[in-house]
Amino acid sequence: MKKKIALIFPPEITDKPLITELVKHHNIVVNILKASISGGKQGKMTLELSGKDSDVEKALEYLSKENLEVIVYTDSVIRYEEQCVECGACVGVCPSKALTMSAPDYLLKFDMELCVLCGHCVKACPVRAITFFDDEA
Amino acid sequence: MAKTFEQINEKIKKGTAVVLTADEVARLAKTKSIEALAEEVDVVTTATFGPMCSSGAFLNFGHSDPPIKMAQLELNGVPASGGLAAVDTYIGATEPSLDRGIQYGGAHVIEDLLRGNPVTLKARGFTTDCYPRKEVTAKVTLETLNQAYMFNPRNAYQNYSAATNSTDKKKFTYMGCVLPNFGNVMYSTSGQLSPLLKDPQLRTIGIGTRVFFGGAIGYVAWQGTQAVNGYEKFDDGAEMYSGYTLALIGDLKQMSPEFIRAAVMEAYGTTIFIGMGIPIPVLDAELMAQLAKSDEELYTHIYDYGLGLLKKPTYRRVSYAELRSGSVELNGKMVKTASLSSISKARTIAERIKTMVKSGEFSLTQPVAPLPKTEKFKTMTMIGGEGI
Ligand code: SF4
Ligand code: SF4
Repeated sequence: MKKKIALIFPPEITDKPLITELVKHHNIVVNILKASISGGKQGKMTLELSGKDSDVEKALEYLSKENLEVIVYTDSVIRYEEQCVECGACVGVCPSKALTMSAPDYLLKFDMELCVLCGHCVKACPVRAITFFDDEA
Repeated sequence: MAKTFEQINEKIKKGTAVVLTADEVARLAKTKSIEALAEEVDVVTTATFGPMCSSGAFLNFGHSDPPIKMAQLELNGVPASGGLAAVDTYIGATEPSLDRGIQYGGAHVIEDLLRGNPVTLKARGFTTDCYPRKEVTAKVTLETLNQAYMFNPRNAYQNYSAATNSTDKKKFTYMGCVLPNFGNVMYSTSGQLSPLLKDPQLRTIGIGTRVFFGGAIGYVAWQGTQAVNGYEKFDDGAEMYSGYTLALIGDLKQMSPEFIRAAVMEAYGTTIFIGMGIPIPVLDAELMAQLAKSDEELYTHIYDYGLGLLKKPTYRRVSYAELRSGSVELNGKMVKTASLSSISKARTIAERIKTMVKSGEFSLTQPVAPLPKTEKFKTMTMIGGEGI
């Protein structure tokens, strides 16, 4: 199973080796997608966790007990409401194959598994049909 | 056997006309002869839905009491033209707002009007004896306007170049974001559905031609700005038409936000998506040969948008079928393609027109006058230096 999550930490926990804990004690492969952490300030890290279903679930449980906020991304990280005009501007900038548009219907398809949360699509969409879930929070 | 507009309209009236979309005709042409298709089919519908910067609307607000002759005006903070009669204006789609810049522009004012949202008019006057008022603020809606019609000086681009970028920096253009080192190819023509690619010699499209425009009935008003009759024939016999455009007019009050949508191109500007389409009467087999052309037989060139030049280096000819496939070969590498014009929306429009023609709601018009031919595209004569 793969899960994309964001961790928002208060300043005091930034030094704790959370990632090491996930890797060593929960058998999780951690892919850091984004991180903004600096000592003494609130930090945010976007991660992709992969591993056995049970391990990923246990890891999430472990994180939830820590003094930090955990956002688990579901398909709703990026929303295209009725707003979408199916133009493809977002497909052009997507560095992974998360956004695609192809025959026969040429409607926009989104594969959360492949998304690296770079945010390029959010800026490229001419009608603002895509937003980050956590931008709203 | 050749058919006339009258004969085709007669069939439409009787409900016996055979109307197909350009997609359907292109598919049928794989198994049927052009002659047979020209016999069987009466009307072929075409469509496009893409960003078209040269768009805007004429509005008349009605008079205030005492009246004002507007010299400077803003609609939701977006400047509109004060260069017409007292309470007339033209709001251009790409005009940025004074407070929010390109994030809200003329196109958004037009969309807000279409959605029935109130828009704030602020105007300053040029006081005269008959127009004594100096300033006015008013709430306007589409309903309160006397007239609101779109007049788009350049829509329905026949065939637009595809864009790539040879430099090592991202380029933010009207073709969207073009990624560095040939990172993508952006294009914006609806290929086998593109109206002016299906009647490239403008045999049936002229001044006064009735068209589908933003969800309403509109008309071809004039030759579009920057129109040229571009034509190329290649060694392998392939032909490529490009460059013609149309000026369109239509009643904003009848249009729908389903087919008119404000857009913001990142780090470029405000623009507007326009959905339009034209039903083309099948006059003879020669016209059917064009109408039946598929994405495999329609081409554009890939140009370098990285250099910021008017004369852009070109890389290769490419068919719309290749562009549609999701990647094209460029300098020995497969490069991702993406369309800025919506294929699914264009299809919806072509289907919509088909239904309208079949039901008799949309009869075909013979042009009142032919559109002019323009062989060459003029460029600006600059005064002074060449730098930017
Ligand atoms: S956030 Fe980045 S990777 Fe994810 S869909 Fe958007 S462009 Fe693609
Ligand atoms: S850029 Fe926006 S409108 Fe266009 S396909 Fe992507 S989400 Fe839809």
